[in-house]
Amino acid sequence: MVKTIKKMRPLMIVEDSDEDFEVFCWALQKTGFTRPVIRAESAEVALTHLFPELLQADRIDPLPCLVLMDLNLPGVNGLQLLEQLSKMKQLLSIPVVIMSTSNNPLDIEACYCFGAAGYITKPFKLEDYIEKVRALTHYWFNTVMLPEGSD
Amino acid sequence: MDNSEVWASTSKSWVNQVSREPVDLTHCDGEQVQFPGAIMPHGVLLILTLSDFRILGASANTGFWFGCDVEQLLHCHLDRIVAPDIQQTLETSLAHITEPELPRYLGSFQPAQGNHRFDVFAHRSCDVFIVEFEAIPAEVAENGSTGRMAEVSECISRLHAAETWEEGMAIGARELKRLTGFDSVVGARFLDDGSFHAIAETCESYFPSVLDKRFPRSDIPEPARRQMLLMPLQYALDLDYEPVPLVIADQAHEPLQIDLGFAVLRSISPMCRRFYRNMGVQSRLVISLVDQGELWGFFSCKNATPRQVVYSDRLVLKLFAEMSALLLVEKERAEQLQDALQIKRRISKIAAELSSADVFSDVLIQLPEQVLDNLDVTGVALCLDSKILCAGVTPEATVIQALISWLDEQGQSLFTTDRLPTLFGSTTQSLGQATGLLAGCLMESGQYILCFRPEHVHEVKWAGNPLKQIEIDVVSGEERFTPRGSFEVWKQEMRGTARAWQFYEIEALTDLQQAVIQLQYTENQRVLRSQLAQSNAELEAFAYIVSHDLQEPLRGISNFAQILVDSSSGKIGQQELSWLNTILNLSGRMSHQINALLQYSRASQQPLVVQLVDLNLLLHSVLEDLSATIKNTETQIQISQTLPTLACDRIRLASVFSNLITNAIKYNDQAERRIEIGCLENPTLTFFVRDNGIGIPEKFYDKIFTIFRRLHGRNDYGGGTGAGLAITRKHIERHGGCLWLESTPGQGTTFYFTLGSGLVFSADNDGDPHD
Repeated sequence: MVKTIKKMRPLMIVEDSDEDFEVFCWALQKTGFTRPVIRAESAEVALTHLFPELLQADRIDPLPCLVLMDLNLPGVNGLQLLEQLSKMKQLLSIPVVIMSTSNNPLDIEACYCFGAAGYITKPFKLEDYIEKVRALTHYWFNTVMLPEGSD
Repeated sequence: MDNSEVWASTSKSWVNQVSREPVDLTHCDGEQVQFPGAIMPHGVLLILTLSDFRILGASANTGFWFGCDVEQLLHCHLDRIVAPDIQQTLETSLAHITEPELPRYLGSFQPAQGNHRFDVFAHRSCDVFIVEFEAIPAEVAENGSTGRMAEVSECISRLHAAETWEEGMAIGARELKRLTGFDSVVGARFLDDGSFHAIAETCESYFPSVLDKRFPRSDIPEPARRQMLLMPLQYALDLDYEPVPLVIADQAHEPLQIDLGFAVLRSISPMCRRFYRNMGVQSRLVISLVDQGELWGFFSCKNATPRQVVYSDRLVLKLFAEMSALLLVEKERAEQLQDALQIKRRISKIAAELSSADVFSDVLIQLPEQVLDNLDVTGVALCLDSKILCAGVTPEATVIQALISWLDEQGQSLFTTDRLPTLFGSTTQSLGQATGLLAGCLMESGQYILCFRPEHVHEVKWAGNPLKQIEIDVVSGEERFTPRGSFEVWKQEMRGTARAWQFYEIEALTDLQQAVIQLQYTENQRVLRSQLAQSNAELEAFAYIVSHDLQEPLRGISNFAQILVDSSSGKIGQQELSWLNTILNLSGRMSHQINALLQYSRASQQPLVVQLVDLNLLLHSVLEDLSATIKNTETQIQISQTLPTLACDRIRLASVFSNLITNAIKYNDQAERRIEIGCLENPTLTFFVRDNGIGIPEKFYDKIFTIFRRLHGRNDYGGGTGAGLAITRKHIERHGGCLWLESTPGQGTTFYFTLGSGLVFSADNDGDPHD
């Protein structure tokens, strides 16, 4: 479930669909992305990973430097997870970018209200999708600085 | 001087000639009391022809009163009896009587022979005149009518001052006794079942009292009642008389065929005489109290000996009776109305509360208690389908259910009875003591409001056993019905009925019934509307979820097909590559359609964001967005009027204009494409988008608004999903407006739309008039 490469803080993706995750990884590879990627299939798994103290568990993985999150998740949905994260001071330094099929203006507004750092609609065409992933990684990993301090 | 004895002795000689009716109650109701063929002896009755006033017949006592036997009078004129000048006067008066009506008083005259003076009355009966000469006893002095009238006027004033109608009757009886000098005056009121109740009595001690006693209906048979209505004042000087038969010359007339209904001297039914004689009455005077053509009650004056009441006195008494009837009836009605008004006011209040209620069940739960408190009932049940709400004492639920089924069979919207156990075929006990039922059917069968009353056990004091009318005839030894000999009080305990429902109680229930039905109707509408709204909402939510969820796997199909294309270059043939591309095209098209469906359901689901929008700016920005297309197609856009600023959802309205303008450009094959946009103000604000495009045949006007419905080939006119107009219409409907079109194929189409008025726009932009 979790792939890690030491020293570099990973990119975390919260995505329940194996196919979407596979396509995402394929697109990352196309753009030449080299960072470690960890995946959480649900909001609950993501939360455990980001904040193991909640379950009195020890942290085993490093905190990600960026979270990409689908909105349509089983159980606790993306928006609810975002709301929970926004209430945790310890995690405020980690930007969360939403990746969703929904272009509903209400969803978009709600996500920004809960502190989303961005909102990307998943384009239908694969080439458009690759372009967006390229722009995304370019912005977050080549343009701006992310918190890299060890946890 | 009292003539009665003389008359009695003179009348004996006619005994054998009079048809003697047997005294038998069984045929009382069929008795022809107005055809007795005989009169009372204190006067003479003449029957005259209509044409020439000749005497056709007469009572057999003319010899006694006029000194001239009947046979000598037949075929003669009145001058055989009176002087020619009086004859002239009488005949002139008779000529004026053209209709059968109450006897007219012609004056008092003295015949040529004999010493008696007579009051003379005349009326028409079928094809003859009936002229009656009522003897005035010599001792009766001419008393001034002024004095009499003054007396009556005082009596009426006293009656007027009475608090209740019962008190009024007592005063009336007392005053009548004083006016007439009779031994006994009884005031009685008829009850609904035809029996009558002696309410008031002023009585000398030697008469048996009947005060507060009840008399059965049969004591005044139907013909006698008719006679009481016909002749509001009936008088018999001496009931102990021998009837004087009529003698008639003409073969065409039989004495028993002469209608004496209006005759003052008409011989009283033998039955009636026997009834009075049993009470020891010799002289009687009955004054009917009539209300709107119905017998309301009467005053009965009785005397143990013959008592003279001459016409002028009777006239005054009749006046008194008519005034009394008016006053008494008015008093009784006022008392009833007061009760009625009070109930009406209270029930109206409950009904008003019902009709203004928001929550259906809350008010209905209170209703039985409210009815119990405000109507004179002991139990109330409100039956709505399987639910029965009760207050007070009611039958058990299972009995009520049975009662409801039974009421449904009766099929009346309002049902009243004061003897439910008898009608329903059940015991009072199993009905929870309910004997009276007032039931109103509500909106559907099986739904009722029921009011119950218990059995009203009470004692009636009959004047003698009303059932015991069999006596053994002394002469023949046979059993036969005869008038009761005894008026000793005979107590009967009345059972099996409840107090009768009053008209105002029935009206009150009708009011409640209407209010509940109205409430049910409103509630039904509300439930149907909310069910419809819920069903619509569910359908739209379904469309949203389906379209959203379908998008995901479709994207997967498309993605992997693309990955396959990318990673298999050189490994697969042209044909296989073409198939893969077809998968990509089809999934792309499906994605568009799902998106359109999503937009469509979003158009219906999401709340309106209403704000004040300057439509000129809005249209400008829409045209800006479409500028590339407009430029490419060289379309001429003309905006006819300045558009208003109004409250609407900016994004939706932009979509509306954008869609209509895009269609106007797309479906146009003219060399010079023209679009006109504007608005009309009359009668309501209507926007339009007009083009000179291909037009739409009228038969397709409806179909173009159906989602995914296209009139042209998939790739003609620039293609498209076929959802645009459906979404546009949805946006307009959400604004409370309509979208329609006019079109001439080959010349162009104009789309019109209105926006509903009354959109509420709020500062925080979340106002939505529909949610």
